[in-house]
Amino acid sequence: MAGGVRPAAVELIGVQATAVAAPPASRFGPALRSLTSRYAILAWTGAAWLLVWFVVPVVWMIWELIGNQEFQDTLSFTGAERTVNLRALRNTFETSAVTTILCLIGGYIVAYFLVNVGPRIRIILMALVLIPYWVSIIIRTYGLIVALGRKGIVNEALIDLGLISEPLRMVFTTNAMYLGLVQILLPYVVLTVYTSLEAIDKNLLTAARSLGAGSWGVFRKVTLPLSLPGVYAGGIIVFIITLGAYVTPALIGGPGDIMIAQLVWINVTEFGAFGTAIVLVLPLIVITMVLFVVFNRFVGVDKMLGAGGARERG
Amino acid sequence: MGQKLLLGIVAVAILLFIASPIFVVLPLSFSDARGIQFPPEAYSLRRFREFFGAEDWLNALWTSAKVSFFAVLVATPLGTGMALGLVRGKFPGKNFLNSFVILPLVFPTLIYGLSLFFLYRRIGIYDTELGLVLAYIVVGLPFIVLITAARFRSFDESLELTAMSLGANWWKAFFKVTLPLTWSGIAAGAIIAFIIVFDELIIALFISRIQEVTLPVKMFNSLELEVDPLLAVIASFLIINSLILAGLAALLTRVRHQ
Repeated sequence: MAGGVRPAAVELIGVQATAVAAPPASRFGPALRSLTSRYAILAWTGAAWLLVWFVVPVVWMIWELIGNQEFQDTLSFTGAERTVNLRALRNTFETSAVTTILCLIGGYIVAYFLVNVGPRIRIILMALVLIPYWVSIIIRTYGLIVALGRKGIVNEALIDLGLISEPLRMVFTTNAMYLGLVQILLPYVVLTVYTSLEAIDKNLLTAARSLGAGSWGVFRKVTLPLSLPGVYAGGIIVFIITLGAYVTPALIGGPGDIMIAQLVWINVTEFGAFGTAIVLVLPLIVITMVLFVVFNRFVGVDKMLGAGGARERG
Repeated sequence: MGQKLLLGIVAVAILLFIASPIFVVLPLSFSDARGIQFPPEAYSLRRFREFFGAEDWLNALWTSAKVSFFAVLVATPLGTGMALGLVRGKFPGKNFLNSFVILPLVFPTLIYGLSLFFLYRRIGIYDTELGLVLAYIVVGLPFIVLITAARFRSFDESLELTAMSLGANWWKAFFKVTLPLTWSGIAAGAIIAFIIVFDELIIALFISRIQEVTLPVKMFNSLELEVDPLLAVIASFLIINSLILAGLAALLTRVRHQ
């Protein structure tokens, strides 16, 4: 019966849409009508909010600060300040690259195991991925500080095992920072890779095996290539988030690990050096936008939504 | 078989590592010791009593709750409308909007916070609750759009069309048919946006340092100075809250009305 109802209803909407839009100049009629239809207005209202409270502040800040004399001065820095800024830039990229690689390796292993394990164990293990995902970054970093501290569980265990006699200094080191970043970002890779692995048609694996491929061959020739969209999606998400990371490096990183975000923060809050801040911020904006566009183009928004949607399943 | 076992051991070890901070923080909050020691030697509820007697922490908690609530209150109808428009509509710029709406999700919050710092000082809402609410509407919106859009996509539009062919206008069809059948998705989106906004730190660091301190900012400040044992209690409290809310959201996304 529903099929019979539909045309009448569609016609009704058509009539309504005309009544709502009714553009005076009919030359652009169809385009105008679709632009002013109810759904278009709903969608553009949300977008307008983002434009006013998200795009405008950012663009205005860039505009304002580029005209600033201090910005010009910072660009012509030659001495120690320039070294500090360049070092923070290099550190940021290095940290992001290493974190991304570590997360991809670890996340892939976990996702691969999750796909190949029975449903009951999978639920328990999935909970171990998702529960931390829901806990705030400060709390997770705090837990790591406690675990790695002088009287923390790691040091106590090492002493009990007789491996060391004095507690090791583990907080405020580069390695602690990597541990913290990987701990926080790994779930993103697990979720994106898991989504692509789960979507692989199992018949393909059977076919490859029946054609004589060993388990390593099946993985390398079939599974891995088919899961690459998830790998790219997870990798880009982790890379972008690490570029702007502030909390973890600031709380448990070593003194040599200063990244763009921290330097921006110090320049703004302690020196009031806004010109310097914008010099540091611009490359971050440009790279994030480029990665975002690449991502949209080659991986598709849906994969990103996979990561966002994972929270939904959480 | 040996390969699979090895893979399993590595995978489980990684998972335990990811989840370990929670296993550390929860027992620590019941510790009876003055300092930080893990594992604790004696357990008590002393620290919980301290937390509920600490006015500055309760004030921060109250600020966070208020700000997040109002942000979600505005972002939910805005995001639901946007999701409906993006799922149902056919109009120029739709593909662009589909990507644009997730930009706040990936854009470095540090830069957004910095830009709000400049803007708010100029327009006079620096360090106010209003400023926080406005920022958090932007932060929460993408989550609401993504989650409600998923629900609208699986909703059978012909039900709404049937109502309209029976004489209901669009608004009536939406409120009497579509909304009652999709509210659980919208509620899940709102809850998730609330969790995200409630935990937000970096933007708040830039725009609310003195008068209006949110809970994450207060936690961060106290972590920077020294590792306060009271933090474990607050952390446990927040972990439990987040998990209850996330569990609720997960249940809501499974509700099937049809």
